[in-house]
Amino acid sequence: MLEKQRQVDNSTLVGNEFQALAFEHVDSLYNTALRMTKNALDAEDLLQDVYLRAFRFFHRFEKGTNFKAWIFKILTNTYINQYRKKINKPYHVDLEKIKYNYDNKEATAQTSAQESERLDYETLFDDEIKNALQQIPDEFRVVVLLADVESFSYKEVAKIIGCPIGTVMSRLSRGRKQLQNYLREYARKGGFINKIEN
Amino acid sequence: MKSKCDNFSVLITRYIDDELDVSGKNEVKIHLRECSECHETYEQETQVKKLLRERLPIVKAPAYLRSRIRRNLIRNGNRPGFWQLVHSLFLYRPVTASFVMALIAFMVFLPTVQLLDNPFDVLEEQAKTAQLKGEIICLDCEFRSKSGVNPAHDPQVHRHGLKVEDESIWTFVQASSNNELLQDQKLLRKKALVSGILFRKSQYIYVQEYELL
Repeated sequence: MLEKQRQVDNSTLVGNEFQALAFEHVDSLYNTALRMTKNALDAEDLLQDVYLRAFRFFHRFEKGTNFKAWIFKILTNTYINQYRKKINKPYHVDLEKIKYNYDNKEATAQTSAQESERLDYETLFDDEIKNALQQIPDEFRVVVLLADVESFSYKEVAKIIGCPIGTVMSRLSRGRKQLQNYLREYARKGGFINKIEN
Repeated sequence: MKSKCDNFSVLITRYIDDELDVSGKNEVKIHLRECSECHETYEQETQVKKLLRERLPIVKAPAYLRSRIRRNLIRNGNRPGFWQLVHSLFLYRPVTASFVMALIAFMVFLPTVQLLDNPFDVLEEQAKTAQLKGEIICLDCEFRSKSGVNPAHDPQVHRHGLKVEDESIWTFVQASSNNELLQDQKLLRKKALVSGILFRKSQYIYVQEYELL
């Protein structure tokens, strides 16, 4: 009886420690989940899965290491393994074609930059930044989210997504360029509308 | 010149994120001063990073989601698996846990070793060495006459056994030590004192010695 009581104490002790650590990052996790899944319902499901998994594997977390990076790794893995599969299944995506399109867009981005047309990003709506982020492919979006929004270092991002640092750098570089293209389109439209209104 | 700028694409990204060593930083700095195209790329990319950091809408996780997660943890998470339990025991009571684990290992280990070492020892403990007094009979003839068939003794096939005074019939375990007892027809119908290992359930006897009376 006493032994049983002790076991319960131990598991609640682990539970409290876990909750204190994990709920500190609940907003960051929720926002990242939202940007990953692109809708609130999936983000909520994803987050519940993440917390359950994190709790079950909490004994594998090495004390003193970066907990935020550890739980973000679980988030990324869960998203890739479950949600992306679910979301992408109904569509057939021709990866080569997409790559070609994006590479083309990058090229045009550079030429238009040469036109030294300074765009006024202040005219952008915040939601347009969100929308632009949703347009770029998953593997770029995840890296951009982790590095720019959550401020993880390259090393941490590499650990979280399980890729070499070189991959992180090139994805981040290309991801930002693609983002810039969409933002440019939005800004251009916004500028146009502003002109009419004036 | 163009391919050189291509190489700078990732370097500029690293420069913006402050992920370059001193010499790398200097290299990029010098190039940015010289190349207006790359400088433009740098400006734009910095702008994007800034927008993401400052203007991406941030929401708070809804309260109902927090409580749902907590409830979910209590319902499904607070049932730690066996290894997790062992781990938490080691974490909070290392000495006790080590003792318990050592004890369990010992208890599992010991009988296993014994069994491997001499399996017959274990059997012998169940079977008791004892003496039986009775009449040496032909088992086959005995059973046949009981079921009303006229027995015709066949020394090649029939086996011998022991009929004890309480009418229980024991079969001899076939072993080289009691060939005589099993085959010699002269011994039939004789009284004998047999000592050996008894397997009471199956009524077999492993004869070690016998003596005719």
